[in-house]
Amino acid sequence: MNLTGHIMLNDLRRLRRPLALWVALLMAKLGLGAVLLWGGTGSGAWFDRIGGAIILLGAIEVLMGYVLVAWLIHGDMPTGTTAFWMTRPMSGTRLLAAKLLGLAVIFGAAPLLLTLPWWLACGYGPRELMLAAGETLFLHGVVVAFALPLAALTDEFSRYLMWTLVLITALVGASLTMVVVPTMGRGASANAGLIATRGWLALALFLIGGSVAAVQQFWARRLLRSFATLGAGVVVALATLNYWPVDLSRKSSALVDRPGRHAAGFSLALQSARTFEPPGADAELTVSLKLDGAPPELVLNGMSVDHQWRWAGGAVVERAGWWDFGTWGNGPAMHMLGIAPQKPNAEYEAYLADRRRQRGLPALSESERRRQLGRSALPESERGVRTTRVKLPPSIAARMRREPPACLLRAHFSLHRPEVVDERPPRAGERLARDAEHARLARVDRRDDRLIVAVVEQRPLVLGGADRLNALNAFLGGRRPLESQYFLVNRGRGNASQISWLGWNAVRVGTVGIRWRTMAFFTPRDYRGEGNWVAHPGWFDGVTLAKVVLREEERFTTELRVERFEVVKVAAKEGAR
Amino acid sequence: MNIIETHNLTRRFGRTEAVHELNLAVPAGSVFALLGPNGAGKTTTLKMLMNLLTPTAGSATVLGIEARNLGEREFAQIGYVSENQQLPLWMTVRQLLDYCRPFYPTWDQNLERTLLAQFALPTDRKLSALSRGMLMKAALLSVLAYRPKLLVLDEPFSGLDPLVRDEFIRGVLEVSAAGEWTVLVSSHDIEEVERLCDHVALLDCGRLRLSEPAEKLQGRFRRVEVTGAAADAAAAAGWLDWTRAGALTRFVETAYAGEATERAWREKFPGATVTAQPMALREIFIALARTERTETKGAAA
Repeated sequence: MNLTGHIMLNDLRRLRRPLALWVALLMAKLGLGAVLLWGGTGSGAWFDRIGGAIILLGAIEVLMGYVLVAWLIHGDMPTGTTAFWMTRPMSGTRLLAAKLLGLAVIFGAAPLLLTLPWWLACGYGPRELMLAAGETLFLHGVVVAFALPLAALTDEFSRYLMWTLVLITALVGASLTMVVVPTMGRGASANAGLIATRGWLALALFLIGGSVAAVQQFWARRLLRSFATLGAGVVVALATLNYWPVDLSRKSSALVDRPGRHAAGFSLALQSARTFEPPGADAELTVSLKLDGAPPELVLNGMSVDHQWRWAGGAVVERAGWWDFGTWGNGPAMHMLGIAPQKPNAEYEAYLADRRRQRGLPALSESERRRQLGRSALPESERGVRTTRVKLPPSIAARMRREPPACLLRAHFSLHRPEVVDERPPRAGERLARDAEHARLARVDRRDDRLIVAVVEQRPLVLGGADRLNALNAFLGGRRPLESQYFLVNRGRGNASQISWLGWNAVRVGTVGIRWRTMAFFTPRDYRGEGNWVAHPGWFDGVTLAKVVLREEERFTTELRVERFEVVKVAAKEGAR
Repeated sequence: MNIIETHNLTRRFGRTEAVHELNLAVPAGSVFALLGPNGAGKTTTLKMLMNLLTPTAGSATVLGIEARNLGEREFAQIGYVSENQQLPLWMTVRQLLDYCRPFYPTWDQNLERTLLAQFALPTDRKLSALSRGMLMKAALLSVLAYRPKLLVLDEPFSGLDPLVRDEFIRGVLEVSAAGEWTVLVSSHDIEEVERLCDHVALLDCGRLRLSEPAEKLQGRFRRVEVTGAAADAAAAAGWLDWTRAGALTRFVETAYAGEATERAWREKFPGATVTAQPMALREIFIALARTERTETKGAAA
């Protein structure tokens, strides 16, 4: 064994007790995750308690990691003139290599080896394993990169803590005074991409400055020079945070178009544009568009929409709007399950309309009706009509009405194919599983006309969330589901009960997202006149619970150009159409 | 051949000059004592020699290498024990030796066993649980076992009781007598070092006052007492610490050369009784220091 390894092993022996605690901490977190996933039939409160403990352990893990770095370095500190190693046959380079090796073992190998069984038990494949390992190394690496310079430049733990506080105060204070305060009240002066560029560059420069200072201290042991290097890194990072001019951000791969065969046949048509202009507030512009060409078996997801209006004189106004719909439509999923959509009940519609007339209320709004009947049950002429909204200053809205501008609308969509993950009888302990995604039915309670089901779901949540996961997996050539849905299906009667969510809790353990979701399924009902509905008797017998995920198939942008964008002012805020 | 040489070696801490243009030569195979009162600059000098401090000016070579460039190869031949050095207190004596051993190709396990027995060190006890004397012995053992070409001891006797001092010195003497080792020891405790060294250098206020073989130094210094007539004679050059009380005149001769010097005294003090006694190092340094202080005060006045 070479001398570098000899020094590293000696460090590990010295820190054996803290390291045992560190390992216990990592294992405790995974153990609690295992309890959530595979043990117990508790409740949301039970999940919350354990989830809280996991979050607390995660915070302790970060703090302990920060302390461990200092203990490791201070065992052979590169400052002062009294350290044991300085007059022994150990060069600063060899010592630094040994310390980095020790850090790699403590913050790399140990977490990866300890978490590997957990990942395998959670059904991670090679792709998820690679991403999860990358994230684990990245997160621990950030803690080490922050701690290492200060540990290398201090000779005792109290000074290490003091300089940590000084550095945090300096960074936060300078960020507030240089960036936040000057922009307060003026709105964002830079676009999101530029802000992200500045943030990442500043972080990178700070970490580079710190790393150079640490290496320099091990090599040359010139404390003042090393502190100057660290200080220069901080100053350059802060200057970058405030003044960096170029947006280097690349469009997130989650937003990059990947059009397929359906995108070409997709079209938009303007139906109407209305503004609601409350006094003393921004106007809300609602644009109704007819969307054609989305296949019925796929779920259309409105991601974002960019509006641009151009007047004859050259004035241009640009705004980002939002859609009134997402991936929550059930029609395609029901289609996938082989269940016919629920038909509208004309008799009940007539009854409701009559009741509202009697009370002097306006006719049922579209959104209410759509909620009641299901989207696919709309009349043909109204199918595919979606709205996008955008806030505008009142002066712009007024000018739009006075002088209709030309309009360019860029709409971003994604199309998802529902896939049935699994279908099982709704019994406690049953599992709905595919690949690394599992759902365990923790509790199933039947109460009169409803079935309440609590599931513990497990899914890979590498690098923060589903969106990022989609982006990363898209980058690696895969596709992940965006979200999952549940249906209670009665194959014998050919119908399904729609879900009503009662609540959910979530926690993340070692890149595995764990959710506790409670949902209620209601028995389908028949209309018996006079506003009375009767539940189907014995409907829950022989039902199955199906889990459906939406897999993204296409992502595309469609443009709509309108030469004369005419807007009508309405007196009251409208419901979504 | 000199194992250590310095050329105008200087170190300042702010406005304070800890070491001033030091020119020192430590011959190979010598036991060289760097002596001086507290604050004389001994530790600073040794730290510059061990590449623990950067000189403000001047240079030093150790084992033929510029001190600033001392690396693993050189430190494998240097043993450094200092009262200020931090030891890995969490280790036992055995663990300390096991840890150090792989770094030194010349590590002698037989010598290690011999020294362990000689120093009576409890191998299973943690360094943190050892007394100060034991701790210094453990540190010494960890540097003696690889038979370093150069052994540097910085104030090794501080805080040690007489018995432990004796054992420590005996240990150093025995190993240095056994091989071609050079020992550089700094101390303000002159009496302890006197038994040990064959070369001495005196540092005071960061300046080198003298540097020569101990035998030669002690040979040229004599405490002289003159009783009787001709006491009016003035002090001559090379006489230190000149005092006169009644018919008794005392001084320190710094250039004693046997019969020739005694003849010169008789000519200077005709009819008087002149007695000359050899001086211990401690007396020589006190005389030198006293003269230095007197001259400094005079210059200041």
